[in-house]
Amino acid sequence: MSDLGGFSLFELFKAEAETHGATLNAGLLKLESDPSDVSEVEPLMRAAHSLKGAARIIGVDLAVRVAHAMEDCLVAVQKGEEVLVPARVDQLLQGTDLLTRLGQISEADLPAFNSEHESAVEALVESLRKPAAGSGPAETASPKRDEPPPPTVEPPSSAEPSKVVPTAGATPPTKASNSSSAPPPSIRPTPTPPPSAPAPAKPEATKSVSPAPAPSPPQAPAPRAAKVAKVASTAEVKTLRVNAENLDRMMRLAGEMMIESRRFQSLRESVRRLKLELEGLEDRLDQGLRTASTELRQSGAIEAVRESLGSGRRTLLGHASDLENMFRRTEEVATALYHEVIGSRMRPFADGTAGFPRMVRDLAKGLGKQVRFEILGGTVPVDRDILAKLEAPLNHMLRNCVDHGVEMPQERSEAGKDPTARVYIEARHHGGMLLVRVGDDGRGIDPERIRRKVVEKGMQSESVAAGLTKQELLDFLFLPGFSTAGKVTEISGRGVGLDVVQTMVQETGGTLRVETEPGRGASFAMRLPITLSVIRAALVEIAGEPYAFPLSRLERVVKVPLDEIRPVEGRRQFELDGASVGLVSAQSVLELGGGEEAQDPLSVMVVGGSGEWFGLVVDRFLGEEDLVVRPLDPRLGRVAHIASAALLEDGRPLLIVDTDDLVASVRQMLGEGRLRGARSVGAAGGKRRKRVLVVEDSITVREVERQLLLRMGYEVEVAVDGVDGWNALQAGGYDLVVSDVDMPRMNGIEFVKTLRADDRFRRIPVIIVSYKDRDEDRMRGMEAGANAYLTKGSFHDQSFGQMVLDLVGPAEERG
Amino acid sequence: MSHDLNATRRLLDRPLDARELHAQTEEVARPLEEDAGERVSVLIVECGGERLALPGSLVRRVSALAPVHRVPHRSNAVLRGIVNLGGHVTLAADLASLLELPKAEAASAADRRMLLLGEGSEQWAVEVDRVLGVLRVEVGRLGDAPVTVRAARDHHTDRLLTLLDGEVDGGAGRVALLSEEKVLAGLRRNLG
Repeated sequence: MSDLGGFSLFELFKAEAETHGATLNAGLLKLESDPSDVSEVEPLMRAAHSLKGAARIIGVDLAVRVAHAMEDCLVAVQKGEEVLVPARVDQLLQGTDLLTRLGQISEADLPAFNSEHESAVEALVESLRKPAAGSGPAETASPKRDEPPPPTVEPPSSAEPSKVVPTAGATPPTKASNSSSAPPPSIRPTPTPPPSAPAPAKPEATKSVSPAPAPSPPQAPAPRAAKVAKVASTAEVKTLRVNAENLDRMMRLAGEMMIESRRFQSLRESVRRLKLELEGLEDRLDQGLRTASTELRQSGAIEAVRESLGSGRRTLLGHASDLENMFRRTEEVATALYHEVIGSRMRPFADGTAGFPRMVRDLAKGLGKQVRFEILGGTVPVDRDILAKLEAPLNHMLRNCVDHGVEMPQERSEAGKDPTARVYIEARHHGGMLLVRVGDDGRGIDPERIRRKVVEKGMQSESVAAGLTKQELLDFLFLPGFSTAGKVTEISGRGVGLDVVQTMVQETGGTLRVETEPGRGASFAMRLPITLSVIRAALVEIAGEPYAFPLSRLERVVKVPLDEIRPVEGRRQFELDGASVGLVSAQSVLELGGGEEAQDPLSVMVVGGSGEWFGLVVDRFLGEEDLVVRPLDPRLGRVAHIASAALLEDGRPLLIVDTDDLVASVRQMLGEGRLRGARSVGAAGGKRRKRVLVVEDSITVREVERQLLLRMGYEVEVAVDGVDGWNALQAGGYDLVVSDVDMPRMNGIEFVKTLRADDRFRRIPVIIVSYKDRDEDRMRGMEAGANAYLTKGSFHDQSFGQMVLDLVGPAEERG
Repeated sequence: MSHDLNATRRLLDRPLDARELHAQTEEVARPLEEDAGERVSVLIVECGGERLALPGSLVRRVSALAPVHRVPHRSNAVLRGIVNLGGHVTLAADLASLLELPKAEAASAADRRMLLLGEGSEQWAVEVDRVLGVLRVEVGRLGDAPVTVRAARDHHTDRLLTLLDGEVDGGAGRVALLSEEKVLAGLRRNLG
């Protein structure tokens, strides 16, 4: 089989199967819900036709027959000879499945595929050729359909002579008449070959990167309510397959190119100075001439010098303006290139959701449920890396919604709801983040059921469980194996796999929340960065060096005159929109020296959340910019308050602030920190008690652990997640660390690994306490470097206390 | 493959300028017995008011000065921060501090250079006051490291190199030839 630019013909077929399969899937579902819209049939016909041609070229007779039968069937629908009934849609979808599946196997598996599906294809083609029950406008339609189907128009550019064997009921593959003189009953009215007819010239026509999306992702609008049908149209946008590494390299180069082009600035400046210098010389020469002796003036020599000086200056002037234009043009092009390359990482959200309408439909049908599925925000641009990571979690959450969230139609009717349930996926940009919500209007999740389960499973004592808030209870859903479904079906057990969703969200630096109202529905809301590679940030100078604050986490940027600052209980603060904002110097949080004297007014970055705001005083604002994020040098490990690095336009490096982490530290610095702020080491004078750091995000569990340890006589400090814990560790002096596993920002496993990778903490004993009690969870914990792995049930018996004693001994032994 | 070969051929066949030609001629004209011993290349630099020799295998690149950005909570006397050397962001360290040499005040900014040391994931950018030159020296010219270790510099030194008069600026004398392994280990120690 010949190769085209490195892609085998079979690869081309695969690409077509993917594209046209998506078109067919989306279109058929739409037609099913609105069979009257015959205009929708045309693209489907073309898709089937293209697939037929492609299958013919690679010589897969099986696929040719299926596609052919599908095409005929669609032609009949379009001509009004047949009404598309659900049974027929099922058949067509089956055909689509078969073709799509064929596009997913490797060329070597073809023979096996053929023999395996031979009989199924026979049956499918047979049923497609028969009128589906109630589908014909008149019974007279059926004899027509038994006639041999129309000759198909062979693409004139067919690369290889097709070696298609005529099959049951199919016409000989001759270069048949495409003259419309004697149209057989069901030939297409417009025999225009589709643009992507067999043997496409472009070997790379497949998925991946769309050519010209929004240039600057974070500012892209967030259009809503673009419905399912968008899938079909986006599939038609010409896309190319690009190696991801290649694209990343291109992005770096484009970035450097832009930086280089700005260096012309200094050259331009020196040309301008040269011009001024020449002008000055001319002036001086003129002045000199006026006072010079007559003899000298008349000699003409000086006049000649003056002349050539003048012409030199004029030449320079001409070149300077040429240069100026070139510089500007180069800079514009370089900047545009840079934005294009960044933009090429973005794909419409719909690209990642093409398979879902079909999946939801099949699932609902199989369960006997009625579901109306909506995709909102299909055009919202999403980073391709994030889109790829989203697919599995979305799939899982949708299955969850349909399987467990949505009630049976009768149950819904009885509850006074529309028997057809609504399931939706919604994507939109909000505050520099991508919000993806998956939800249903089904029965919702009952927190009380979770509470019972928690006690049943021995994860918490009844008294502790009774104190858990609704949100804390919902968090249990993300534990592996925690299922509230009465029975775990093969489709999905609510809870099973939700931990996977959470892991993915955490990995990309996002958050996941469940919201539910019993009887009214539930939704999972993921808040993700729009892209992992580019962020929009406010640039500031701290202690004389550039730093960036991601706009997504920045509340306000304000100038505060010194006389508006009032000390309250020793804390400096100012009023902003009626709220009091505590002030801290960014320089001191970051432990940097070398900054400037405080200016009036102060430049303040307002950060925080949940009604609590802090002002970070910086040297000055530098502006706002899109930054290409670069990871910190891995040798540094985790650096407190810093998320990543980037380069400024002039090539200088800068650091991107981890705002959440910074806020956590500021909160403590400003005295709310009974946690670490009020540490009094050895103040009691006597023996120092051993100190334990408890890292746990649930306030309930944290309190249980703290009380237990306090009763044993230890000094206890707490941190609310891994990052907070890591920061707390920096103060040193801990004899034991107790950590949870599932925590926001940095989970326990990562936390323990980080701690173990650091010489200072390598020897501190660590106990992991988690709800996760499977062997693989235990293994993960121990591999990360924990000395012991206990489950939260261990608080009830003595095992937790015993383990603490085993590892560090009694509380008062350190002299 | 053939493309590479052509490129190599072009490189080897390129015309030499007068200076290069002179250097090459000298190299070829050198009496044979001088080549008897094994040779190593070293980069001679001035740092902290001292001349130092760095093994050629340690130095990847010599570049112009680039601004260093401190890393909060981490930067110390040795670990300066991060630096962008031609689009490649790496860690910057202070060689003079590692070796506990005095800070040279007189060094002119125009002479100062940044060296990229190490390879792969363990690269470091260090600043030196001046690059004096690259030498290929016979192993026989290398003496043992000082027996008594007096300064931090000696901890990072493998051998002593005797410079001949006129070889590099500063005349004849003995300079420390830093150990690739010990310097990298020393820098690594300052990461924590």
